[in-house]
Amino acid sequence: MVDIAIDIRDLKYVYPDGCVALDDVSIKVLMGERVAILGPNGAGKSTLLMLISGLLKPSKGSVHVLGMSVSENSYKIRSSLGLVFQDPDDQLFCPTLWEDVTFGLLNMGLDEDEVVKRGKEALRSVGLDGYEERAPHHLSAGEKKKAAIATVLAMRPKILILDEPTANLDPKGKTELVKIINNLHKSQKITLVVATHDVDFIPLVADRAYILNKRLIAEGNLEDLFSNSDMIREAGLEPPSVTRLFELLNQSIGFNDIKSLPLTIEQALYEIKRCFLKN
Amino acid sequence: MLSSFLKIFEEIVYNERFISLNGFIQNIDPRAKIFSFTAFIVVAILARSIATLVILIMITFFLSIASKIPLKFFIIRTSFIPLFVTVIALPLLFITPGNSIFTINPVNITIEGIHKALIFTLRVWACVNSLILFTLTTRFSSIINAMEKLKIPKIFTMMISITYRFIFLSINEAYRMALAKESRTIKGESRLKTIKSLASMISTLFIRSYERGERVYLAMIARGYKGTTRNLNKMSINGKDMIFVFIIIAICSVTLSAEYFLGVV
Repeated sequence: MVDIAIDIRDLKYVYPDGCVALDDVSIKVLMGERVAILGPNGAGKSTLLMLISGLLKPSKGSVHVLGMSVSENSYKIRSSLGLVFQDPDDQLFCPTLWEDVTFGLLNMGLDEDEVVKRGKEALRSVGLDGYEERAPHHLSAGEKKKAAIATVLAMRPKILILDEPTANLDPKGKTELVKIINNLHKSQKITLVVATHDVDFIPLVADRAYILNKRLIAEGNLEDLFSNSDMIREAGLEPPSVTRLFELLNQSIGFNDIKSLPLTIEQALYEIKRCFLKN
Repeated sequence: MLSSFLKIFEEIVYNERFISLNGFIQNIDPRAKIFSFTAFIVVAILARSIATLVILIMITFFLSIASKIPLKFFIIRTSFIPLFVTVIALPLLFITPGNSIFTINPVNITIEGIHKALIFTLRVWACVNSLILFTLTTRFSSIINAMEKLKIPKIFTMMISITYRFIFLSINEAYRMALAKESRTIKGESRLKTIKSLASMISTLFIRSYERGERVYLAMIARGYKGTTRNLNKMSINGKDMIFVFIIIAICSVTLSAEYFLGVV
């Protein structure tokens, strides 16, 4: 049981105004997995993440994190589950970055040496060492995003949940983000849950995805999901640009000598090279 | 117009240029600063003679030079508030009874009136000087820390710190909304309509702030906030800080008692 990070069963969430946000959602994430929650705007992704972190209470169904029921152990769970909000300005509310990074640690009741050690470590892991005394409003959007990640990393979560992490990021910021996320996954075996509609970004940070639009529409490996482009479009999404290009190549010139449609530029390059070398 | 106003506002609120300089006041413990500047302001409010106020203002100039803040910058920064105050003080010239020095019926300017208006302006200037000196030389986070160390309730310090953090964000949001409205206004509109759209803008801003407040609170809870927070920062008061407090209080009490007992004008 321990190796199940997140276990959601028959989850339903109704907003106070009676609007159904999520219905009949069951999700299982194993420890060390990289999972994406894909869905268009208003699909209930953020709501789902809030339910996982115990910030909202489900109307029906259950959420278990690390084998514990979220509604009963919310404080315990919060220290092992890091939620990065979509807008870093919501997450950085202290006068200095250092206070923001240590906020969670002090709430955990750690002693000072440990707080300092973990705080520094978190800033270093997102490449913001030396930014301790900086005020959040002086940071760029990319730096703010990294800072927001550092504030939850300091708590050494076993599960890292990111809500729309690429929103407002420039290409360089995105590249850095991918590097940071994957480093964490590699070095700390951190479990990743990324909610987004950025389909070009998803193949870089996840292996498996749930497609959500108030209800679960599909689940599976990214390759399988994105090769079913009709389903993807019906869900209000598009396959990644590279995948679309290969789809079109397939239809127009019969460029179909490949095992599965590539999702990233690296995969596409590999397929093209393979084709050329064969001819 | 609005954007230049915002720029000035940001400059004033978030100016950190002088904080990291190795000047005199920068090196004083924030608690000692809060204490001394409060004493300073109390004296400025109690003072009744021009001489005392001029001495107090001179002290702030001296401290600004000692803290490596260019005097010209400091005077420009502080003087615009006394300018407003002068306008407010103008009626004092005419309504104060006493020896008139300039009369065109029914307008009557009296020496006492000039004296009163001058004292009022100088008093405000002295207070503004000391406050601006304080904020120019002290990081906002250490002001908050000092307040916490001085046992000011956490709920107040937290409110102040979050207000400071989000005030500019809200102003920026208002600015973006104003721009968005401006960009869709193609012909001049009536005053009434402008006021109406301003009102709806303000209400939208209210709702947005409320929603942000909610999200910030959730972000705090997500990191284990249970209603109380601990603080890491250590501060140490040393001999230098005590001497600073002592000197400021000494100067204040000497000038004040000189004024009261000797009747210096």
